[in-house]
Amino acid sequence: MIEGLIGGFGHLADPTNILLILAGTALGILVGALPGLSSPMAITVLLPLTYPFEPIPALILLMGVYVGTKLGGSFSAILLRTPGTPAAACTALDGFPMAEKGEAARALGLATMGSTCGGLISWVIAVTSIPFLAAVAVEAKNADIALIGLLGLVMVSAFARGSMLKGMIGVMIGLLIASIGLDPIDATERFTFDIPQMMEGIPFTAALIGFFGIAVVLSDLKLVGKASEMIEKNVGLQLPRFKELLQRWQAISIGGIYGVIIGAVPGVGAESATWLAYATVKNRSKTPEKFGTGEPDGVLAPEACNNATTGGTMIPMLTLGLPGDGSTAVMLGALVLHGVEPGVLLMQQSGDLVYTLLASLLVATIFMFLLALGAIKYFVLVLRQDRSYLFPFVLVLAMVGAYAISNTLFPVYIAIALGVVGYVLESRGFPLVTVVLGVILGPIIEYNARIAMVISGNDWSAFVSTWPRGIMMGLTVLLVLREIQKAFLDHRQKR
Amino acid sequence: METTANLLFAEKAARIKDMFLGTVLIFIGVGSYRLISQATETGLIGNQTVNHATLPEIWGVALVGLTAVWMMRLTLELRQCNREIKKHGFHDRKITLQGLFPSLTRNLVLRMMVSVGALFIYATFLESVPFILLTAAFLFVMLMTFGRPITKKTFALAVGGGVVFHFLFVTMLKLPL
Repeated sequence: MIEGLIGGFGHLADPTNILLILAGTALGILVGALPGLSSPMAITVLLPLTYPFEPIPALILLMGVYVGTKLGGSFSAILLRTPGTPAAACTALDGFPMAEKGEAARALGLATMGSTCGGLISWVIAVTSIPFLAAVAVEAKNADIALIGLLGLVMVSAFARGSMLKGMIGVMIGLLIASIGLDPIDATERFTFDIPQMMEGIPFTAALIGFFGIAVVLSDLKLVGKASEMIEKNVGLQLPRFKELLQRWQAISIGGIYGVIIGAVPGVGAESATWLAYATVKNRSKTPEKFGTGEPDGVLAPEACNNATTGGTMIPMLTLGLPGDGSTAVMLGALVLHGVEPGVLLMQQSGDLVYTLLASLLVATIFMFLLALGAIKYFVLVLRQDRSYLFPFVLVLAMVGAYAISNTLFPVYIAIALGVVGYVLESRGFPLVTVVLGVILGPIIEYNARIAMVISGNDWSAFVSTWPRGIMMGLTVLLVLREIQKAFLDHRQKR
Repeated sequence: METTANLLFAEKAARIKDMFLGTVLIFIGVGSYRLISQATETGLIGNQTVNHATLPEIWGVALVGLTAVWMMRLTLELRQCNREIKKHGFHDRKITLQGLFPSLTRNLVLRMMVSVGALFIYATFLESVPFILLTAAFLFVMLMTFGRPITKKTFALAVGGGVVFHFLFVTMLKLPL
């Protein structure tokens, strides 16, 4: 492991690679700070620009963006009360009251320190657990992988914004979209409508661009022309003293550990983890009544949690080939685009890449801290900008990005169509991340389920034949049934 | 009084929109089930319990089932809403189109339609019109649509954007545009 990690850092010694992480992190902070521009959107729009790169430079650039957006989201949460990313929503609860009281610099300092500590905690856990888990994951059979994917989809529905029922409907839409094209086993045409381009299926990147790029812009058109009221008093970075950090170690460690654990559940990500961490820290506090009025622990815990998910999400991504959240879903797509096959054999076949990605996670976290320390005043300037300048450029990047998939117009039209579909779903409260994860995990689940059936001689009991499979299947069925029951019970209680 | 009426009618409007979307989703689920059942198998692999149609059929049925549960819940909520409306004596009022889409102002709808239309036009001419010209024109139209005034600054931004994107995608990434 140590050797692998040294090799990974060795790759980063290349000045170009270091510059790419730095640029990615800076861009991530900027994008994260802008409400409406999320991490998956930034990575999706940037993805086509990495086509000519080798896999390592391409992925470390995206890693920088991923880490940077986590912190950037807190800037707008603290200064505008509008989180830059959904995961930073919790930070606004105490960050904004602190800023209102003239403690903006302190709140930003706590957010930066919390994010950095969370990132470091998760890095340590990811680095120590991934090689071990990868060795275990190699033992996973096709049925296990199909079930992990299925459970991940149910879990993401459970934790996603809005109701779980809507999340599950979103997943089914994604799975149906993923079924379009030639069947992966026997090449039967499915939903192609005799259109030759449809035989290869819906291009994965076009779906990402549609759902995370165009749909988000259409949804956020209502923000165009509305300049945000920003707190301008005492904006800077006042880092907490070491003594204060030690006093608040519980908030940081709870946030960090929650972030890693919840981030490691395929598909779940940071959005729900931060709320859980916040609630736990509040419940354990001797002064819970102070939460919501500018309590420093209320900034530290969610921010530590938010950045800790970066290490957590790497665990399923690098060991099983399953995305931890929307951003890692796009990064998985980037792996495929660059000719690397994600999955249980990734560590064996591309160990070099895995360790370099882990090394870049640490370097990006350090850069994030240093960039905030040196340039926070410049980063917050972006909060004053109206989106009318930004969205046209995002749309061009999205269009040309879709074109660059195969140098044809088909993915461009698909991206526009899915963008409109995504807008309609988003406007009715369907979390788009569930649709996207359905699109991504659909082929993985189908391929592995069918191979498992072939191996077992068409015996369905293959999916419950070992105790981990039984647990995963049981949990999946239970969660679905519980939600269906809840759909009616909630209504009765309301009455 | 008026606030209560607005709240109740907003709730009702949201449920009606959800019901409409739910109906579309049910059609998609049923349609995909029927389409996949009729797909002609290549027969390359031979008879399998789980074949090309099995999982898409499951997804289609699950979409219909879950949407049906959602719509049943919506129906209950809609009935509850109607009872409340009746209870408060607002039952003689009708939901207008404006009431159905309260957040969609005329300006916003226009922006949305121009955006989607401009995207289609941009895509259609992407291969036939010089990239730099098309991108500059697209940026200019979009900047105006999003409320930027017709000034030298807006024009410069659009042309500058076109030049930068041309350099990035055509010169550096060698896209055939």
